[in-house]
Amino acid sequence: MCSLCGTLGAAAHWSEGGGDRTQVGARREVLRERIRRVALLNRVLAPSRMHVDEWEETAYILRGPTGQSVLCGDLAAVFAEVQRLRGAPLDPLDPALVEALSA
Amino acid sequence: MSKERLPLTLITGFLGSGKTTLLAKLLRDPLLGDAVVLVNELGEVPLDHHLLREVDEKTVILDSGCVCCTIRTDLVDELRDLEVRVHRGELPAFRRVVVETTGLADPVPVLATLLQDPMLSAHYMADGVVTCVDAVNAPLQAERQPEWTKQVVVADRIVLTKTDLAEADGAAAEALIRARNPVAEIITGVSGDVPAGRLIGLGVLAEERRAEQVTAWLDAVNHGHGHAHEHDHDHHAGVHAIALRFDEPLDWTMFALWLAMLLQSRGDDVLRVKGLLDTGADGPLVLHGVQHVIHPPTHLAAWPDEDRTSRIVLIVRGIGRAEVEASLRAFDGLAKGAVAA
Repeated sequence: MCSLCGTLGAAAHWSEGGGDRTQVGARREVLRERIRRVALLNRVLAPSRMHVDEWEETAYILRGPTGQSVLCGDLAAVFAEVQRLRGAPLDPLDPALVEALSA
Repeated sequence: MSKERLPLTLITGFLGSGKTTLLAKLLRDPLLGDAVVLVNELGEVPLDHHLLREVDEKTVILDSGCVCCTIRTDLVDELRDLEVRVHRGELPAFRRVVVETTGLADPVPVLATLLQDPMLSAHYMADGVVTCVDAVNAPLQAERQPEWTKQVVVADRIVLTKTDLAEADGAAAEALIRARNPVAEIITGVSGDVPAGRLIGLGVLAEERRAEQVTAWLDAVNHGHGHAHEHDHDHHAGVHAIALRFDEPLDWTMFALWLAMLLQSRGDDVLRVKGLLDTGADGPLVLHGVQHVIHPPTHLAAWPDEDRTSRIVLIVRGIGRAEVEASLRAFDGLAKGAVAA
């Protein structure tokens, strides 16, 4: 899937297809992975004072630093909205972000 | 999926690179006897085929403005129409599709359309991208035409044309190609004379060939195939290959988050991604992407060789290896150290 055009209701984003689905209880594994993804997202977004919550196993709610909230269908949509709210993309190669996450 | 998806071959190349001449020769081969051929315009080179269709490159650019998200509506409409006519019995069934783009076309939207359109993704699969490169004009086009670079980067096979002309410098053209695409097989094709079997039926996305494709890339980059090393790249384009290796299993959830973030922020400069990732499962996860178009990753049942470390190749523009590795290690370390599984 294109990483920039994730929209609610679209086909599953590629990022949600790589977990280990070989074990019994695949749905539970999907949910567990979503919850963990949200936890990781919140660590990455913390320096930008943004927060994500899981929503009904189908979307994420992104909350901006001034309280705005927006529903995002997948990771691509989350980072597109992060860019919109910040006015600039959040770059994983930014040395300041890398240092903040390494601390 | 019960029905086998039909292979779609994309033939691209800059203006005057010999696409139509190549196609005209290929159409004489029985391998393409049951193919539908979609061309952008009927030009001076005559094309003789019973299922030849002319399409305009109609595109719909989605709100994000991302070129990769451009949907080639002409392909969607034409292929849907053909399917309907086959079902009505008005046309014979076809087993293969060949699409020739215009010389200034970005081939990525065709690949994106194949993944994103529900009908096309259910019925068709990219078989391979064949790019024609004019050996005479390659240096100029490489320097001045971003379309040329894009067409070369996404290629699975490259047909080097016009090498018979006195002013052609095949070696220089090959070096320019290798700087941008370390692994695509380069085939010299004077006047389009290339056996169809070397260009058609590549099956680059077939499940059974995914690991082979990735290991070929890794070998090419690690062994310095052509000019793929970072220190040896073409500074005009700034395009080069980065090969990364991780001895410890990678946290897939964090890796996907990192890659999605990278594609959002630097997507125009991440041209290709291939990888075999150790995510802790028995076999590796195979990653394959062209710009923002990431194919759904698949788990293999077993590793293709003795090497069980995660290996990733990125073809990037203006991004350094050290910054990618430091970033990825920091993100992965955060996942392993700070958030309980």
